[in-house]
Amino acid sequence: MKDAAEFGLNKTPTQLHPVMTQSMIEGYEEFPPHAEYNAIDAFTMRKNYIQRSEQLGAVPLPSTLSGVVSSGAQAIQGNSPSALIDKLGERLAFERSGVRLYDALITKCRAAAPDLDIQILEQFRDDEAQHFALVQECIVSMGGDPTAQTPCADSSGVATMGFMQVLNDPRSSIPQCAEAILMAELADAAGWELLTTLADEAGLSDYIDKFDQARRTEDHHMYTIKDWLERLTLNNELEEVE
Amino acid sequence: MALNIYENRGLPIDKQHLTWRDMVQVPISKLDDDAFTRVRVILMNGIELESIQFSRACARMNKELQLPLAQLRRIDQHQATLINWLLGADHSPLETTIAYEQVAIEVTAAVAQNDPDPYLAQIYRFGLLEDFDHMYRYSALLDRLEGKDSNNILQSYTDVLPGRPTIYEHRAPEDDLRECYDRKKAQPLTKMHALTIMSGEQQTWNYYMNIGPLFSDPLARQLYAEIAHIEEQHVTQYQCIMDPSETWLEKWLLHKANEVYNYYGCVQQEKNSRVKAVWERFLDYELGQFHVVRDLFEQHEQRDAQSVVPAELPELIPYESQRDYVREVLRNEVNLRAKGTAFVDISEESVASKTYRQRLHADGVPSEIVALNYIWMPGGEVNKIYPSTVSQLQH
Repeated sequence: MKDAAEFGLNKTPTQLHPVMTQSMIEGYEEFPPHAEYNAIDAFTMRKNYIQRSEQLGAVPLPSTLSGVVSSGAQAIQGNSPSALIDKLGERLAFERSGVRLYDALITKCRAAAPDLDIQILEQFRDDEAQHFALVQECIVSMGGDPTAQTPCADSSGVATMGFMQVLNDPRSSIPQCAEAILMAELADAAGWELLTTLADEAGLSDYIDKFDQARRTEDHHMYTIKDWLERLTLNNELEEVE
Repeated sequence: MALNIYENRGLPIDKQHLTWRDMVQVPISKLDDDAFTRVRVILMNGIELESIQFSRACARMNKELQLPLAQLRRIDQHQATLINWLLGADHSPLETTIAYEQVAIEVTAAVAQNDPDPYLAQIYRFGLLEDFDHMYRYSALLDRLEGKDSNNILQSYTDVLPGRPTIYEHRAPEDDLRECYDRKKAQPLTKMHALTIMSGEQQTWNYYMNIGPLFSDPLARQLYAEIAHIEEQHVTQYQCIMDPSETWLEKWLLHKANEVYNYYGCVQQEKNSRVKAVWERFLDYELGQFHVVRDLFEQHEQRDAQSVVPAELPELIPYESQRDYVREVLRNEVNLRAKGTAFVDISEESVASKTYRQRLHADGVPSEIVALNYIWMPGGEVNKIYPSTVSQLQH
């Protein structure tokens, strides 16, 4: 059972090694830090890179913006169509990864007993897939290519790499996995909220309600997982979570 | 009881099989396992990787040996996979870096104290103070970049203090060359030590060169570039100390003996029973491989393998904190510099190295920038804001 961890022989606390730790601290009296070079500090060095850096990449130009007209493209009235495409690309990637996050949690729950309600997890996984399809449809309607990876999709993918690592580690517990999913769902709900605002500003009237509905669904996921996590943590009894 | 390498024939190589499931086992626990278990895992991966690299070079130069080299190299590949995969994915690349430096410090310090050749012992002490400083720089990076305490990896066995400042470690290539041991006169322990330390440093070079680009932070990217450069210097230094007049087969025999020697040391000192079983299994493998090479050696060179590798293995490398010794070396030798193949006082350092270094450092020195005024404290530097934890520990 992948239940919460229990007390054991964790070797990381310094209190396990009081004499050696004290010696480490006192070592600085004899061997203090000394600067051999201070012409550039960390901020100056990083500022130099930040100011001279290039971006992660460009937002792929939709065919509509390069002259090919589609019904969706005419709806774009916002000040920053590239931001809309970029954020759509991000949601697309996030939802697709969300499917895989739930796949991993479902696998773990199936392998452990007792487990979370797998039917609910499967529903959530299917919701993520549906949201992926919704964003895909929207991008296509605007003349965009849903196979492209936009800069925000790339950045978001980097940010969420840790979720995958936690979910797919055979050693991680169900509560640890639920925690990772919760972080993803919190970001997802906020992401849909922002996307709905962007769609509204861009005049994508066909999608405002659909995006808002997706946000409500993600809110439901988030509160459900949050509730499960609380009950897992407070009661430490997986059987009670349904 | 000492292991007689000629009486123990180990497992025949045609029975040395691993499945994917064998190779990918449950990793060690970053939190619960003793730091020296991880030290051994990293070192033995390095030993296997060196065996593979040597085997490739040997195969390029010796057509008639290509088949047995390929056969043994394939088993080494499987062994390296199993061992390296024992590191769990909850180690960040930077945390693993801390572990690599712990290997370099603790193993080199142990070797430096026990090597019978005073010149080689000096070389190890020299390299030791440089790796010791890397630990300090990387600990500062881990704390200041990821907000993590390197001592979660070190478990208080190894100091986090400035050593010979990394800024002074970059030298002209001619100052990284060293004299070698004499293959006819050197003691077996000297040969085992040289191969072991060279393997560890080469592995570290490989690791830093591979993971440096994984960091987004430019300071981290520069620090890995800077320290990987020192690792190149260290590999240059350590590969010099092995006698180049050893024949290919002699070197191959020594590599296999060194693997037996190190696995035996791991078996003797490992506390984790699951990992110990791996060491025992691979000790058996390496004994089997040693005898394959022994037969080839005696067949091709018409001389007794015992003229190169004695029946009984030399004194094993101890896996324990070398804090007092390292500090003593730091006290006495921090101002040593390398000049050609000799070690001199800082005042006599070569113009070539000084000039070389100035060019590298012209746009800033990451090892200095990252560790400016850094003092390790339990739980990390953020404790400066709420210092109660530290003051409690100090009483």
